[in-house]
Amino acid sequence: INTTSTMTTRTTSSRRPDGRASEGTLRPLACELSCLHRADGSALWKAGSTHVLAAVYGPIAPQNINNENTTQGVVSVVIKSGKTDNNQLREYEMGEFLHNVLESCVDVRRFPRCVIQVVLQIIQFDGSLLACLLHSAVAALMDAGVDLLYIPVATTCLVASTSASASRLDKDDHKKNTTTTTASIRLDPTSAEEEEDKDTSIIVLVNEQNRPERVLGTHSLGPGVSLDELLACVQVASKACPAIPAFFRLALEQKISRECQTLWSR
Amino acid sequence: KIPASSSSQSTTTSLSLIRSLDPKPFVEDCWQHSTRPDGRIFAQGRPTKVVFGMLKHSAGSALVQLQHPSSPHRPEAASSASTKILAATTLQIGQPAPDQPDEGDIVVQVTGTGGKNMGSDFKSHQQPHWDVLQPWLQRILEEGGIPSQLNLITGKACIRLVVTVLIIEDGGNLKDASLLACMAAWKDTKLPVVGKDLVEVQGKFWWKQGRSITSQQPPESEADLVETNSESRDFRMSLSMGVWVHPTSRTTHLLVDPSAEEEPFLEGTLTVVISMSTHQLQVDYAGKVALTATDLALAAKLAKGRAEELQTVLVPTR
Repeated sequence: INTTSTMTTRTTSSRRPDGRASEGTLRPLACELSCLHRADGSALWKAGSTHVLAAVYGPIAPQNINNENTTQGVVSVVIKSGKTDNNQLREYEMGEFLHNVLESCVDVRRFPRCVIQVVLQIIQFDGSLLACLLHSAVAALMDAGVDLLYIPVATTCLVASTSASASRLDKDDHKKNTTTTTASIRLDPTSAEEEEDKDTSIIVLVNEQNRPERVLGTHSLGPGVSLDELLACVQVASKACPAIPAFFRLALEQKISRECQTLWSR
Repeated sequence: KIPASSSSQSTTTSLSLIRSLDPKPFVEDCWQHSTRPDGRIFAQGRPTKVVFGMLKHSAGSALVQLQHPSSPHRPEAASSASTKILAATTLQIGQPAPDQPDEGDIVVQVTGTGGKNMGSDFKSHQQPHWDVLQPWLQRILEEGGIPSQLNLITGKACIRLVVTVLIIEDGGNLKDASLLACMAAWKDTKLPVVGKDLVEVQGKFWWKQGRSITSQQPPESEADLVETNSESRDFRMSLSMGVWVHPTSRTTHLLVDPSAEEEPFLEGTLTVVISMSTHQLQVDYAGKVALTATDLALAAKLAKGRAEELQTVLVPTR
């Protein structure tokens, strides 16, 4: 009895629980800039039913002298959700990841001895939280006029492996078992999809706008994936990457045109 | 005429002084010559030592040491810049959560001793690392399938595994050392069996008289030995790699098991968690350098090699 295994990646066209047409479709996006008046920059980011409010303060002088860096600025990220202790531990991890990504994309050399505070408030959670947190932070940074070296784009991939076995007889009448492992990759999953099966893994990939085939950050949850599945996610994320910067441009253009109309109407 | 021995000693002293005052040029110069400050090559990790059963009164314990390779330029460093982590497990019996009636619970606590390599600014420098280390360890242990093995009676009784991680020395790469210590302590832990180690009296579980659940108790039979060294447990190990880009050729290099001397000057840290039974991967990376698919594949290959090395190390020696 011989066993062989092959791996294929498919993106099916079946309807998803929230009504999206295919597994490669993102949820509808909405963004409101400058919604907070006291912050230097703010953004209310909505991806489907996941809503995050981001506020940026700075560059400002740090309150604690230990947080000061004489050669470059420091990005401080705080996530607030008002949940229990178990989720606070999760927020520490997400905050550290966002801190590393934002500190690499902000031109911190222009702000020595300064702190840029990014406060993220989770208003409503329905899956793909880390990507929404990052996008809202980037939108708030752009609203605050902070210099960015590049625009990071996060894509959430839900990977579920299904194995199908088939047996057949070869030319010598020996039974041959073939196991085909198919990886199903869903983009931008909802919380229902994330919790549907414990054996699924969630991979958040951060790409650069101008070089989407390269990975600036990854964060994995779940039992894990094979190397082929990981590289397939990288490929899928690079294709989905251009959608978010186009939406950023649209949101900023609408904000500027609205402000111009208000300014000139006086 | 200066004696040769004193001139070499003064050169070594000058080198150590320069290295302490401004370590960045020294470290980057080493990297540009395809070596590392402690003499390792890029794909080489530090020697790993695992000692099981360190503590007498815990259910399981292990001491993990990432030893600093002795360097001809700095022989005193062999005992100074290593990473030492002690992990201990204790068991608590209680009722499972209503939404997960067939699973137990894991709680991870990370603490330090304030000893070697933890100076006066230890709190301000180390605390942010520990705030992230604790949730990371908790998540990895939970996702490794351990809670499902902590069930005693579905819906009635389960085990809470309390894992205490003590950072004795911080010589860099706390993630790998602490996860290996947790896995080794879990390997060393013997779980109680209802009817054998535990008796139910009036709806409550009590330890059977004379049956202590510590790692120091010798197994009574082959069955006990199999139970302690259970082959059904899935162990996970991690491999952390620093990312550095050569300033002239712009090629990306992965530095396996970065030391505390190298960590501040890296451009990113890539951590690959691999399951020893299924070889499935979890990749975490955040940095200033964008990685290609080739870099990710190389990191996965290095992690698999490390997993094969640690499979022999994790076999308990009694």
